[in-house]
Amino acid sequence: MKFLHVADLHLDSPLKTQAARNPAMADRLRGASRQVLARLVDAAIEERVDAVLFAGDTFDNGVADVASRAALAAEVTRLSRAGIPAVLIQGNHDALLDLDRYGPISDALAVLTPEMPTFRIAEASIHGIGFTAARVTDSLLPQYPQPEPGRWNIGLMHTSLDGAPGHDPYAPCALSDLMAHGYDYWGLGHIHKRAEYQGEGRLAVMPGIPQGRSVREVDGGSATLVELDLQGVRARAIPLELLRFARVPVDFAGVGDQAGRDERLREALAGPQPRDVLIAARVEATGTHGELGDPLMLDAQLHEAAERVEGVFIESLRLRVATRAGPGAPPDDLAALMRADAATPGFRDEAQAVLAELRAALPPEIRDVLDEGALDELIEAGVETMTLRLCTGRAGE
Amino acid sequence: MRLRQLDLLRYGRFTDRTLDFGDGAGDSDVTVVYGENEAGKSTAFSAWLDLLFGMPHQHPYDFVHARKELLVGATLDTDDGPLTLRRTGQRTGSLSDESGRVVDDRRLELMLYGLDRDSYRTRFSLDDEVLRRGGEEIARARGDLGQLLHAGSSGLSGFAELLKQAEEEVDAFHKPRGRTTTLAEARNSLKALDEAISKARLDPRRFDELRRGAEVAEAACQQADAARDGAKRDLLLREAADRRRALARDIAAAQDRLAGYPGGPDLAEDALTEVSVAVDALKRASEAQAEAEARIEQAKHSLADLTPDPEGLIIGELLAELEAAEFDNGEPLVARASTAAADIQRRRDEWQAARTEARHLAEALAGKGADPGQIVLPRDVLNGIREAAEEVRERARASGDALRRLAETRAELGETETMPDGAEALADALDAFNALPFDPDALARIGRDCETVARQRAAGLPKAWRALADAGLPTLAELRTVERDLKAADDTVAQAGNRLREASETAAQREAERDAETQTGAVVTDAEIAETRARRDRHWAEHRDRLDPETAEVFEAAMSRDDAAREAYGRSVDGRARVIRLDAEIEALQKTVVRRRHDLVEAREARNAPREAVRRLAARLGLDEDTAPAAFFERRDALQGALDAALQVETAAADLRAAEAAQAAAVEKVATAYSAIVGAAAAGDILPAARRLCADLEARQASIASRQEVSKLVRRLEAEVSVHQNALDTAEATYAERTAGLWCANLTVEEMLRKVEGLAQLAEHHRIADSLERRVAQLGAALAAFDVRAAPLREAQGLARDAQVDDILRAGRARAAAAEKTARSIGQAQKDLTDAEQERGRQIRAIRNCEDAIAAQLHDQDQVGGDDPVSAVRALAARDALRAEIARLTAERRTLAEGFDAAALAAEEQDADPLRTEKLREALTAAEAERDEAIGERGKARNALDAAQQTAGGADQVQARAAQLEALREAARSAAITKIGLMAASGALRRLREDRRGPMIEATERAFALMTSGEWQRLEAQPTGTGERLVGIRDGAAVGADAMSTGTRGQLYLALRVAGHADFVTRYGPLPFVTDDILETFDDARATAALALTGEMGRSGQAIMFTHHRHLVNLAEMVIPNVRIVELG
Repeated sequence: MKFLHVADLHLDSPLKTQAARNPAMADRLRGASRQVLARLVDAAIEERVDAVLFAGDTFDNGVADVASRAALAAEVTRLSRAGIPAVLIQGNHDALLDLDRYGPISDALAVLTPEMPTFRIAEASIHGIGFTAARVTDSLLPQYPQPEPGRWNIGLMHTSLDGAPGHDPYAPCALSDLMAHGYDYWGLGHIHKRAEYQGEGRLAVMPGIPQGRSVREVDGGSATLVELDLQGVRARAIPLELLRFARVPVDFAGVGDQAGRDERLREALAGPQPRDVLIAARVEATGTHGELGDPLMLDAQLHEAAERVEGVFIESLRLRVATRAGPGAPPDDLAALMRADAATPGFRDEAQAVLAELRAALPPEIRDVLDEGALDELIEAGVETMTLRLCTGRAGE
Repeated sequence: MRLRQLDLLRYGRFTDRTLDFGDGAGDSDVTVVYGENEAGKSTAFSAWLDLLFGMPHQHPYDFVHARKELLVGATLDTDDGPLTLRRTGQRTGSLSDESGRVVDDRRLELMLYGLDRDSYRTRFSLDDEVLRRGGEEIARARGDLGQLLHAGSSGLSGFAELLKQAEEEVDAFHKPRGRTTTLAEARNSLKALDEAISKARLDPRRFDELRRGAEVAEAACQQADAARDGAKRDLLLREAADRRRALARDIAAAQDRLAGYPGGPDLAEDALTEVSVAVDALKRASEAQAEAEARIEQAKHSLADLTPDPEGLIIGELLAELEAAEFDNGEPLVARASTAAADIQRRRDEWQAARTEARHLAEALAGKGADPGQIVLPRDVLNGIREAAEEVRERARASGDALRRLAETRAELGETETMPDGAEALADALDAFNALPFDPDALARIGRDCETVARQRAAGLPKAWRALADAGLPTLAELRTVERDLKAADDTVAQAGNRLREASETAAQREAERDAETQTGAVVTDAEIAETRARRDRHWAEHRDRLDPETAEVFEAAMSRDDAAREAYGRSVDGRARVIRLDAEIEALQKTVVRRRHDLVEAREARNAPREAVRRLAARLGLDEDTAPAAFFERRDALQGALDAALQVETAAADLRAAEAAQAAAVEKVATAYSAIVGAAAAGDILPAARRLCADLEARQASIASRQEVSKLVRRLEAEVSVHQNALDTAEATYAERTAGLWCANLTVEEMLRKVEGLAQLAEHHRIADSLERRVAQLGAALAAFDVRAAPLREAQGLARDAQVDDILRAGRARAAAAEKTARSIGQAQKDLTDAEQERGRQIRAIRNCEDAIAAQLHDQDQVGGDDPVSAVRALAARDALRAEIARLTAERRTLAEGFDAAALAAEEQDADPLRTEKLREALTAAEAERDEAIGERGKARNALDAAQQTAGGADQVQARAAQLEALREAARSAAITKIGLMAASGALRRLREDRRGPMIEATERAFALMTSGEWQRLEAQPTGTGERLVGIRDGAAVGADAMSTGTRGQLYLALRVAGHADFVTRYGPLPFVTDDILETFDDARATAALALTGEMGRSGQAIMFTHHRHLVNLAEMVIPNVRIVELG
């Protein structure tokens, strides 16, 4: 039997990327998560799967817009016409979502709950217990039915497992306990980075987010195709993403002029990239002051280079100044004084105050960019960037 | 460096003019150059700049001497002694020394400490314009002031603009209460997006509201439908009753009208049509019958008037047969006979004429009595003969030409010559001699020149210079490195010394302050009150033990001191705090002094290494060990030049020796070759005789080669003659073959070619005669055939046997035509008679049929008045129509009752109120309007619900919002790091400026105070954000430079320049400072002060002042000791 397993679709959750401000990109990214959902259904029909499994956080919140719900309904209907049912559990994000708020989505969509935890299709029993509260701090595993003998047993669970960086601990559950429960396959959700956990004849897969939404989500981009037969359980990723966030390192070692920088940038941006996938790149440039040159000019060069590469958009530029000797080194006394000043408590206090004032003026959603915890990184970046500017500005006199 | 002498050799309007600035001895090195306006002061200054930096391509002073002829020179006092230079307008190598040797411009660059033309002009020259502009810049530009203050030393100029730009970037992102900042605009945009999202998304409560609205609208719509249907039913019932009532009235009226019509069955539907058609047909048939009878009478009269011609008809048949007859070739016989009768005689005459012409031509070609038939040749035969004859003629001509050329070429062959052995060896030997690469005489001259140069270059060098050079000279990079390292080490030591001095002075100052605080007794320390208390306690103990007056006084005094100390302690809290702070400061400063003293020691120790390197290099260059590195370059260049020259001398000598040996060997080879040819050695210089002999042999060689070429040509022409002869033989055989057996077989080719044209004419005439003969025979045959076939026709007409063809035909045709016309008229009259009789019978039958049809339609009908059957049928048809109308009205009335309650309908019919129907109609209209409104409301509600459910849900706006937030996040981060960087850079720059600014400000302050006679005592640089401003202190009040008068700003600017000059001289070394009439707007007091400053400048370097004011010259002589005056006339 074949199943297509997806999780953390976060339908209609926006992409946190400046790429969408580019009109051409915005057009291609319009309704990105809906396009990904459509790709998922296309893949299910093409692979002739027996069912599509949604392992939580299909919606981004508990009050999904009717249009988002309609988008899911339309795609489930498409699955239904192909004879493929959909099985869904709710995750922490959409735990409070009333799926029937605007009427039943589709007869072909089965929602697994504590009251109705099992869906049977052919030789498989699919068990799942969706979230009924936004915060579930206890393991849900004890509530899962025992495996049904003589059938393929598949479990759907939205869980942080033993814990994962950047993810709140929801429905924590030890991987060993999962594997010991007796199911053939665990279709997991919640953690946005794809991972496979192999047991003895059993398999658990965290499929990752099918469409990364920011530069912090660079390890998803797919659903998982699961095959269960006499040879056992196998899984493989099915790419779905439209846009991939990527960190692109560029080392400018040995480069001393703009032509050289331009060449390095073009080489880095033109590196291997998957077909039909747009790239939002955070470029991390490394070099000495002389190698990096004027940061404003470098940024302009970077954007110009990106315009020459189809499908690549610059998300941001980060500079890492190397300390090795090289041409165009900054005025030592000035740079040293700046670093020394920046290390003083007074300077840190003043910088903290500046950040606080600026942070207060920002919309709440993005105030984290100037968090107190970012002070050291911002001071270092400020000193290095200004040193670069002073260095190249003076050289240009 | 100073300028000792400026030579205007060919420059502007000057030729060989020299300005002498002396040797600079004395306290102050100041020269005043006096000249009237247009005397050439600017020209002299321009010449000085051109000497230092080269001449521009477009030169303003080439009006007397062309640019390429311009020449300026100078004698400079340098650390290594006087240096005389010349500068020309050449693009390369324009700088030379007094010996004309090219001097590398880098020597001047070193002496100018890297200043270029603009930098030198800016820092070491001043005119009134620059002074005025500089004053304005102080008032206007913070950055310019900073550059002036730190010119050439801080390396920080230009940073102010960068920091200002960075600050503007930060402000552009966010500024409190800013409305056009990136952040403010983004917030507005986000607000708009939030509103758009709110509108675009479907809130569940709104969904419920919309759904309820739709349901209410649906119910209202159904209710309106029912009301509309009821009103409609009432109206329909009323309208049916009204109609039935009207129909009953119409039926009764129709039945009354029906009583006035005759009885009888209903007519057939088409009765009126049938009767009308029958009446019309009856009328037409009666008229046709009368017409037919008239035509019968007319035909009978025509037949009686016509007589037939049977013989004429027979003639017509014979004529037709004759006209159908054909001649042998298928053409109509009659036409051929008619043509032949008209043409035959003319053709016979033409035939005879052609035969006569052919005979005359045959006799002309072949003699009297020649038969044209025998002489004429077919066209292909004649063409073949002509082509063969022409080929024979052409081949004969070509063969003759070839024979002639052969004879002429044979005549050109001369006598046979031979070359002697050894000719080539002689030519090779002479070539080898001529190819010798070097002329020993020229090499000797070069050697002598090199020796001269080498001597010149070695002059002034130590005797052992060659050993130094052979040991290896240091590279320029080494020299620069050592010079730079030593300078850096010196700078480090100087800076360390300054810092130590500053720290020591500060520490001493703090100690003095601390001592001042403590020594006045105003401050009581903890130790002091501890001591007074201890003393008081001690004396108390003593007094308690002894209790005598002495101890009491002592104790009282101790107690008073303690009380006083405690009181003073209480009063001196602030002072004590100051002392504590000063102690802490002093301790820190003392540590700093120790640290900086250590730094100085380290700096001095670190300087030992570059000093040692300098000493080593000085030794390698043969200089004293304490020689400054700046002198190394010249010495290295001199050593290198001398070494190069010496090596060139040695190379030239070796080249000369090699060239002489090669020349002797080459001459020997020439002599040997010459002797081998002439048999004896030539006496004296062998080369002329050998060259002559070689020329003779080359001429002979050319002659032999020429004869060989002619022989080859003779052989080629002989072959051509043979080819042409063979072709002629072939052509002659062809001609003979083509004339064989013909009357012309014995004619020569030329005779034949002359007769060819006549033979062609004979062939043409002979062909024409044959053609005419055949034509006459054909015409005769046609006439004979006609005569036989036309005999019966001729006889039937009774014509004579010799009647002409046209007469026979014309008479026959007329008789036949008349007979045929009569026969046709008789036939037509008989046909007309038969047709008219048949028509009359048909019309009689038609009349009977019409009468029968009319009678059938009126059968069984009651009597109708009048004889007109159509009127009768019309009356019956009107009766039938009335019957049908009554039936239709009755049926309609019955139909109207269908679907209605019979009793209600009857009641409604009974109600004849004329207003009731209108009332019901109005009620329906109102019900329909209400229903339409309800439907509209339902549509709106449904549309609203549908639209809400079909909305895109604001996903696009949410995405746009997220993208905007991300952009804002990145911009905020960028603004934050820029702001932080700006803070760090501003602080660091302030500190750097503080470190470096002091001496400049102080020097400027002194100069400014002097020039303003003490009016402005102090100057301060006050920071203003990322920049700074210069303020002067007058009467204790700070006045910004921008608030000073123009003249005062000019003086301030001059003071800055004086200070800058002093700073530069201290850091690098002296350079001539040139001013051009900058004091003319100064009053005497300030001019005197400025001149005194100039004198100050002259103590540390050279100052040159151009002026055209005599009184300034006089003032200078008073103010500046030993000032040098140069008159520029």
